[in-house]
Amino acid sequence: MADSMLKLNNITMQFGGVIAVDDFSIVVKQNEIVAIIGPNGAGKTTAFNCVTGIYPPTSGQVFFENRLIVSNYPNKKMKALYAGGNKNFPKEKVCLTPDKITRLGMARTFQNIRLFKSQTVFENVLIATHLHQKCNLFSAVFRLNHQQEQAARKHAMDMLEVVGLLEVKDELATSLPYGQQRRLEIARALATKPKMLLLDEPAAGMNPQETAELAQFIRQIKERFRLTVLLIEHHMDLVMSISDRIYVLDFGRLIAHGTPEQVQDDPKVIAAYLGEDEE
Amino acid sequence: MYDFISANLPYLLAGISVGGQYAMIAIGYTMVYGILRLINFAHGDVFTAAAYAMVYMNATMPLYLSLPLTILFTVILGYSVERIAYKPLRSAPRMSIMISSIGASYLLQNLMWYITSGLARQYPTIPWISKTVTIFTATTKMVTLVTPVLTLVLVLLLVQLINHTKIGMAMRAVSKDFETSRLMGIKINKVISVTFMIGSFLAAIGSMLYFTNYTAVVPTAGAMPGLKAFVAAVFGGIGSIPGAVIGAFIIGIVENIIKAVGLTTFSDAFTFALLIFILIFKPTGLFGEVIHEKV
Amino acid sequence: MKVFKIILSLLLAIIACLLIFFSINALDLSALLKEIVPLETMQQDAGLEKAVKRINDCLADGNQNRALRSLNRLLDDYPDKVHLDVQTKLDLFFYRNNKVMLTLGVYVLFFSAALAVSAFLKQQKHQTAVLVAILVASLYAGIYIVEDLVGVNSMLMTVLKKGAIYALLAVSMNLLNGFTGLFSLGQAGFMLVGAYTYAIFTIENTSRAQVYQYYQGGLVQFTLPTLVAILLAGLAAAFFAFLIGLPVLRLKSDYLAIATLGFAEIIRAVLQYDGLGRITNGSNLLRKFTTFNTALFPFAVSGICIALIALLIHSTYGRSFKAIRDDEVAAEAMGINLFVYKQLAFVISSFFAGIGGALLAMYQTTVQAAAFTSAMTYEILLIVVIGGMGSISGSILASFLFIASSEWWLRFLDNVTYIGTFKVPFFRSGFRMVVFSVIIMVVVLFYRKGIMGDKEFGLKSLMEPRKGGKRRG
Repeated sequence: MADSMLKLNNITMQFGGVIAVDDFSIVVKQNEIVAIIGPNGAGKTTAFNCVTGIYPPTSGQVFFENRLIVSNYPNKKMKALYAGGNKNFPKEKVCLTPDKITRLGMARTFQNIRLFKSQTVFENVLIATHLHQKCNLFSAVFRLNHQQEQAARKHAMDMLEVVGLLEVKDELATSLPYGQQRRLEIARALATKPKMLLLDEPAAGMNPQETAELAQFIRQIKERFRLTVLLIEHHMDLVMSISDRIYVLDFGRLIAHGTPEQVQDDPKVIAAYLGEDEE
Repeated sequence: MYDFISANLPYLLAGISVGGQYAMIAIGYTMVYGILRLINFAHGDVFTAAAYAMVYMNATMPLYLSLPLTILFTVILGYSVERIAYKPLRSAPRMSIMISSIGASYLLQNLMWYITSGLARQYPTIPWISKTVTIFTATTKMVTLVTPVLTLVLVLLLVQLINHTKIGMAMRAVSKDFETSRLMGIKINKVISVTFMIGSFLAAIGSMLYFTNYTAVVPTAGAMPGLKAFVAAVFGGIGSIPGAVIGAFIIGIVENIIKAVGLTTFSDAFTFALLIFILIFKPTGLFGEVIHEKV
Repeated sequence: MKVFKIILSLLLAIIACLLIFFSINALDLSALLKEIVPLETMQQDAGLEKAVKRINDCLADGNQNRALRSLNRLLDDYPDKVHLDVQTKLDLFFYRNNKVMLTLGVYVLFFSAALAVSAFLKQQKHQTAVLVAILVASLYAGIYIVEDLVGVNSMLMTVLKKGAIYALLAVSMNLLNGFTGLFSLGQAGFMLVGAYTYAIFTIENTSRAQVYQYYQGGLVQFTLPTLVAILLAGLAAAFFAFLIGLPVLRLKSDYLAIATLGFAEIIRAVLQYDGLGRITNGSNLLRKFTTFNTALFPFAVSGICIALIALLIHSTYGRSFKAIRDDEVAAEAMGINLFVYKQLAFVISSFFAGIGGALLAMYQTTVQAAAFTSAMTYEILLIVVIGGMGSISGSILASFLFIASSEWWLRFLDNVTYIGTFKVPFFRSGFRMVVFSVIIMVVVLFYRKGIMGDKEFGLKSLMEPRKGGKRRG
């Protein structure tokens, strides 16, 4: 277990009466690329949001590097409403905020690209370096942190070089084409110096060629920064070509997991994707 | 016991009365918020404008003309404010619309100041409701008794309108989902206009009742009741009409109790303290719905 | 190019020094008069003697303008008797245009310094820094001289004073609303806290009995130095903001607006509360505290505060604020603690609002809680919007424009005016504010970005065209 990077234990997320994620458990080991796939509305992004602290799950726990970062159990109104599959609730309530989780070394991108709209490409990345600047208000205002600032700028430039956006660094972030915006999101996530990268549909809206390039790119950054990668994706080509292991979600439930080959042949997965005739 | 009642009854009556008047304004806020997600800061000034309209019209024509004309004027004013200040900003960020509403309020206030030369105007006496009556031991004006009854009647009518007419259905749809309603072919602009007109109509009636209790109107007279009515709307759960009415009555009554205790300075502050309290502990108000934000 | 610049700047410096030297050393009129009208010629002509005596009498009364007018008449009446060589002509010229020449000299000096800087300093950054310093120095020199020329209580100086204070208030509100994206309407409340804190601690001890006549002379019985009291005003406002921010900053946009507005109203009510009368003087006004006379004071204080805010906005903290404005969720995912940073922006903004409130109190010379209504907040918000949300220079520019228009340029609209026998319609008291609010509505509706948008008016944009010229040459 020493090399387990991320562990989800029995995560259930219920919005009112709707169960978005039901009793979902996964383990991601160090240096792996793991994918979560599933049809639209299967609860993939919801699971991501629970992991990164955007909202707490209704019940279940998340461990990052064996440290408990999220834990919740249904109480108050939810207790009566609760309809999830798992009944072994953790007793404690822990909910680190997203910024703390990022500080621990988990960075993410967003499905519906969330760049800082009014700022340039370079500034977008620079904001992310903020995490590693240790200065107080006074030294920041009077520029006593000059060296740190210089280092941060250099780091931001490096990250832009990694994703190949150096030439457009002074453009407004939102003026970039779609594919480059996705790359910028990755650069921004990398600038927080993460140990683990969570990518939410990184290939959405890309053509086959761009997708192939992206696969190459994800592998590259994984090697270069010794990252563990967890991604959500629709593009089967991408998922099959880069993942070490795959989890398949359907209607919030885990229906299969294993290596790409195992998953590909699983009848339940095929049924979920192609639609199943009611017997 | 008798002493206690006779000492406090006037305050309680005043509270109920002022609560009803707040309710009339609060409905305008809550309906607009329900549909546009906008705090219509100019609403309080529309309320004041109604008072001035009454002042000027009553000076030149008999009551049976000035009353309906005042209401008509206010409805047109509310409609124009929407057309001029909010319609051009339909697709703008919410902050811009809110700023525009503040600007509209500023303009209306200055306009009223200009027209009246900044002098306080005597509010006309509307017969019958200005009549003095005695209930048990408390002497009060008829308006105190009329207000809650009229409020309830109007609210019931409004609820009927919203639940059982075509335009009411459109209103409900728009407040649930603005974009989808537009796609479904609902004439958004018409719905919004009607909402503003209903709000202004009620504000006009509220203004007649409210200012009957005061002798004079000044250009900023509507600002405070306007804000309090808004607080009432938030308190009851913004977007909910019964919520706004109940909130308004609670605020009206408690405010007057505080006056009875002798802390008049704090009667305004109390309203806002209540607002902050409710925002912290139950941000959706008494009857509001929880809205989940999509990430 | 460099040599040319240096030579030019040296030349300019020499001219400037000459100008300044002559205008400082300009002979005073009585001495000059002796040169112009030699003693022996004067004694020959009784009329001339009378004229000279008249001028000297005017000078003795301190009425310079009349003395000058008399001198002019003398020069016209006795063109052949007066002795005017180049030297005296020059002296006379400098005497007449003393202040203008001094101003000119100072500015030529600044300009030559700027030229020298651009010639000697290679690094762009250093150049900018020195140029900014020179600009600021020339600004203050300009105010000093203009104030001397037009008088402290002239309309221009009133506008400059109030404009400087509003600039600080607008920039501090912009920090919150424009840069951090928190729609707060509590400005008037924090200004009030600042104004009262300042006033309470700087009322002359001897006047306290008179000011607090209904409250046994008040509780505070000491007077703090002005600057300490101003700082304290900021800290008091910041402290209130800290307390208020704890619950309120978790609310979303319009709820936050109405909650902060509510807090401002509560503060206003509390400060008028009779029970606190020994400190706040109840609902009576506070007066007889230290005020300023010259416009240099508000300019200096506002200038420093705005510079601090600008530095903050361009630091790593400012970047985080902007990130929160653009996208809260993404900002949080970048490791920015939303609550801490929102609270920080709120407290800092209120700190400067408090200082602005103290300055406003000084400007008004009296202060009363009842005047700090939400209308005041709206006014500042509208300034911010006109200037452009997210632009410091826009806020500053808009403040001066706003104050100048409302206090000065549009004044004529308030007066009943006749052109010939034709009475101009609408012109009467209150029309100014109507026109003014119509202008504001036009900006809000059709120029939503305001004057500057989120851009800054800086040296860079000034230098851009020059760069283009260089490329051509």
